[in-house]
Amino acid sequence: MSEDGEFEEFFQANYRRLVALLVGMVGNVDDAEDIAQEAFSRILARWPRLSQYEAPEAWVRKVAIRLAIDSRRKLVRAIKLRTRLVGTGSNQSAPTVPLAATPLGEALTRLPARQRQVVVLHYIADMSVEAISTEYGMPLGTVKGRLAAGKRRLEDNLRKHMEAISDGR
Amino acid sequence: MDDEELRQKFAAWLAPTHTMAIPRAQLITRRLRRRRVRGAVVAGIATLAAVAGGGILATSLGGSSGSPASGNTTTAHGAATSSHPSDKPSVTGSPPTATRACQTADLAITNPRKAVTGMTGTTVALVFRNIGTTFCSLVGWPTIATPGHPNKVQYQTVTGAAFEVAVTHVKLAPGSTAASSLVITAPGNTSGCNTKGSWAVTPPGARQHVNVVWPMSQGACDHGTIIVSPIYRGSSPVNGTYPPSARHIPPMGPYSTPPPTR
Repeated sequence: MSEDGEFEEFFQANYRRLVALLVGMVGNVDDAEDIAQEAFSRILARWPRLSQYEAPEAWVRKVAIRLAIDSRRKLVRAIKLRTRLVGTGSNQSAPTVPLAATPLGEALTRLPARQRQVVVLHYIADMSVEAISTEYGMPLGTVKGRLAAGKRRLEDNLRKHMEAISDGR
Repeated sequence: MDDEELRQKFAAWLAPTHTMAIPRAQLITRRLRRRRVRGAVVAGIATLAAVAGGGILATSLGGSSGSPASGNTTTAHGAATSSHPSDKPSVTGSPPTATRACQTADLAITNPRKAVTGMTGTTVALVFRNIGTTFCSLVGWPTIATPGHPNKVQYQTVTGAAFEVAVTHVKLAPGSTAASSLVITAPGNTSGCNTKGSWAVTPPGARQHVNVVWPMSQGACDHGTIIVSPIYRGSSPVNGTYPPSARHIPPMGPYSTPPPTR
């Protein structure tokens, strides 16, 4: 099969899975698709070499996760800057970034980036804690700790959200 | 909420992505092309700005009669600041004076599995090949992590009686190799030695690691010690003093993390 054909096949096989993972990271499909396409364009630039790897999808996943964390930081900075420029009061907390419409999505996108990353990799990408540890160079204890803290916080966020709804807020 | 329930909730939330339309791969090709064009434009603007800046500086240093583009600026200031192509050495393929640090994407990192067994343990070379198209540099120690396999990793220049490696600045031409020698010492209890592991290796100055498959038969058993040498030119394990001309290398280490060398 030609290199173009191989890439096309790789892209078709992994696109939806990567977008699903990124929706967990950024909270909406539009940004997730944009980041996924950027990650695939980066792998395409190195395809002759990366296609020889045992698992090129691990590479594209890592790039995509990094881009997702970066994009969220940029978005938060931009919102903070806009808040300052329009003078709506510096003592206000920064508005949250656009969130997914479901309680679960909202709860997930409220997690700190590092916890969210591990939660998404474990529960959405279905990776074991050992695989996350190896792929991302984190000690096993760190992965387990972030996963446990992330899950706790996720449940807490969900509970608060449901309470707010039942209170009519 | 148990794990399975949480997984199912996430799956239900993300169900629409399972049926979403997949764009054509040409979209990615176009995106890559656009990025390359943007990069070329930015590089062009930067070059123009540097030429213009050099011209202004040369004019202010040499007076109004000197032409910045003529290549006649011979002062140390002019040579150091001008970026006009005619002022640069014309030797094709020679390494630039300030070589950037090799990043993970520039390197193929391998364990060639040529081990030398000695009194202090098994010595192997971790090899870094420059697979990029430009020169890059490596200085100091690679960072080694053995996720899932508890090992003690030490970074030092003099590794027992086995060998000495000074911290050297290795400029790596495309296709050439550098290495770091690892002395691997197994613990007394070898119960954790029968599996295959994957080590996370981060080149000095790089931010990302690469997983290198490591057979435990090389003595990298759980709870063992791995002594890491600085990076040197070549691809074989060192079994003496590097560089060979060095009479005495001041010992550095052991450190639990690679010390800064830049």
